Amino acid sequence: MAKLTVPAGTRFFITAGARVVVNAGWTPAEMTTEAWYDASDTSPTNIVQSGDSVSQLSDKGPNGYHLTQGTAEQQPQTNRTINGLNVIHGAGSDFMTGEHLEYGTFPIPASGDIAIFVVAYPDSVVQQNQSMFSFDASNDFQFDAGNNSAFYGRIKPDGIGSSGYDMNAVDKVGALGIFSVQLDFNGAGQYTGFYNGTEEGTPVSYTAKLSSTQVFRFLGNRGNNYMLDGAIGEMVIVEDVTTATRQKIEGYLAWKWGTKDNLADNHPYKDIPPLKGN
Amino acid sequence: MSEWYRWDTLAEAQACLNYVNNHPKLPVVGVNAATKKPAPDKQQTTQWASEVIECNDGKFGFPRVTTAWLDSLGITQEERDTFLATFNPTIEEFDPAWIPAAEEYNVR
Repeated sequence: MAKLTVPAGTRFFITAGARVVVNAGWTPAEMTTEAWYDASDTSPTNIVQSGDSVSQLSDKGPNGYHLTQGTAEQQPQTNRTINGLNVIHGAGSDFMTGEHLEYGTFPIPASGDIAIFVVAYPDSVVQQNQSMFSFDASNDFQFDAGNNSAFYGRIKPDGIGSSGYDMNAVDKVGALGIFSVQLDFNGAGQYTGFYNGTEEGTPVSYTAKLSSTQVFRFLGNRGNNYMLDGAIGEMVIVEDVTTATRQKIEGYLAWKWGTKDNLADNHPYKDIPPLKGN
Repeated sequence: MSEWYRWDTLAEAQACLNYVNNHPKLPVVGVNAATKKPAPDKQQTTQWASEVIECNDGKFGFPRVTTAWLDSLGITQEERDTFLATFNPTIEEFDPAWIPAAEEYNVR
């Protein structure tokens, strides 16, 4: 069987009688996810809302780690779209009572490895601990702004034997981007971060794995007092920290959310999205 | 920034929050975003606020119940007026200075 790859916008002709198999686009449903939260898909993800306030964002993966918020004034909102897709956003500024969702008993894989991919649009920052997401236990971390007036991106850990990781000091407020955070305990013993598929900063070595069960907070930090002022479109959490999987998920997100042009020229999914079966 | 209800004493603030959090129209059953049908088996909205906050200036308060929230519950204007007359909060724009400094509060 011959494979034919056709760039977007290219016309091609098929001779009558030929048999053509067209691969559909790859999605995280094709792999084992720890969790998969998709604000754009209001049907199967089953966003539950009262007015515009979200009380539940369901896990589309097999584990059912649904994010919830039963306190009305802490519920994020779902009345905004980015690039034509629905997002969930938090106001962030009223920290201590800020808007977020959480899942209280999120298991970390026994390997200690975990990768988190987030499509997010930070709106503003007034405090460096305002977090896009966090895992809260004794050995834990949060992914926060890392600056008191800009969103740079910082992996801020506790208890795992290192001091933290700073992404490039470039403000990511006001732009939709793909943030990838990877903790590879079982392999390299390092954690690192990527923005639109490009690694920023130098991987940091660590010595202790994350605690086995965490409070996972979406739009909020571990102390539950500094929330993101901004929107999240989609989040995928997996155990697989290989480069191939990272690039495939980044490619999927970039093509879906209209940010493929921001991928580096050498990214394997710069010109074509990941397809099923590839 | 949002508005807050504030009082001079914890007792006044707690009494008001208890009333709000135990309102007969709670819990609220959400609706599925796609179908707009009730989703009673999913997370319900069980309370307005989790706690009264002791502010740095010595007052006590919590975020004001929003008009959108009151509208969604179908609270009448008469009931809103009675609520304010009964609990008599000061309504103020939230000031981050009310909150204990980060170093004192558990920044993680």
